[in-house]
Amino acid sequence: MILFDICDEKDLHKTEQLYFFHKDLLFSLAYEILQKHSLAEEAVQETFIKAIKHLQKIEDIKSGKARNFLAIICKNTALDILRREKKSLPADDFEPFSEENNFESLIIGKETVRSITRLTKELDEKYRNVLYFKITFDMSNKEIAQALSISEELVKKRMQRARRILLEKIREEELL
Amino acid sequence: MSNFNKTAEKAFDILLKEGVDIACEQEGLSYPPPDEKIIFSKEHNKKMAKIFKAEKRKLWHKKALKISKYAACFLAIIMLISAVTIYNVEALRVKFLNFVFTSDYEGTSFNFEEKEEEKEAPPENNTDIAFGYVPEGFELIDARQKKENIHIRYASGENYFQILRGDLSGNYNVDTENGTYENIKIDGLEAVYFTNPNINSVVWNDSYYIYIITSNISKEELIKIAENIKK
Repeated sequence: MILFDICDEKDLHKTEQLYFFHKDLLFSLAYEILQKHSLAEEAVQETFIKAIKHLQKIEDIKSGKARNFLAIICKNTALDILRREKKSLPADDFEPFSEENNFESLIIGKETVRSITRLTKELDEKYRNVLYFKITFDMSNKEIAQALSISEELVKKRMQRARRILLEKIREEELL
Repeated sequence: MSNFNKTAEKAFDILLKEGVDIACEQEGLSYPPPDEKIIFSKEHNKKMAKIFKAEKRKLWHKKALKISKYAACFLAIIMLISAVTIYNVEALRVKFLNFVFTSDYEGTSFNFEEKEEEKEAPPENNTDIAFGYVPEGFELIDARQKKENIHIRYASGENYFQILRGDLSGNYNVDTENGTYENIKIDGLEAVYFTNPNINSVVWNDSYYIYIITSNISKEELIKIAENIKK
């Protein structure tokens, strides 16, 4: 868009600023999945339609968090488009039943934060995304479900599963 | 879940928030910037402009709604101020009495605003007050005095009148509910006559005291009593 190329970023509205800073990256991420220019553009458009609803959760538009927020939505949107186009990609909607977590015997310290950061990054993307949306961006299950095009029940299950995986891994490392 | 387990879970959630936030930030920064500048199609640019336009319109509506709420509040305040001003104009009508009265649904309260240095000391022998005129059939049934404040009541069957003489620093209430008032003169002094279905009152003051006579007898009789008070 010519407007974004010639305008001073300060003149732009927050949504436009976000677009201005992240459009190329988002297009690249979507293109990687869809391998088609028009579909990747469609993914970028849908990403912003979804992201607009949660703009208040983004404090610094240039931050890694903002970039990750948009990237997660964009990749999921691209996968949705791919499913729609190919009609063969199975929907990722199965989660094992989650049991209540046992926090007893857990040793919690400063080191735990570093472990959580590292282990979060090692988590499967589907759990990681829910964790980011729920914890970092304080989104409700309904909002996450809409942003990721999955059911609220699945959001709930993934959140439980993500916490349990992290808890178990931290406990395992403590025993080593 | 045991109490310890709950506490440990809370502690874990606090650390989880910290750890996940860091991971989110780091992951976002780990995306490599695209090697080349993307050329978007005209259709895409049009669609994006439409999205932003719709968003701006939505925000504008929200802002307009907010402003209209503020405007409504502002209007309400203006109306309130206007009401108070009108009320104060009413109060000005009795300013000559050197007091202001504030009306509520139960009655009227008198507050004298005379400055301390303007106050005159009451005469030394100031405990006497007598009625030069008492309507026929009325008898003294109650007379009380506390310092300079005097309360005297006369009655005849169900009819009565009573006088309260008080110092100017006090607050006094007169039943004016559903009533009207008019300016009159008592012994050459400015006074206010209040009347409502239950009670008639006359209120005035001299340099030392406020006088309030309340009764259920006629206005003419009440004024006659007031004018013939011997201080």
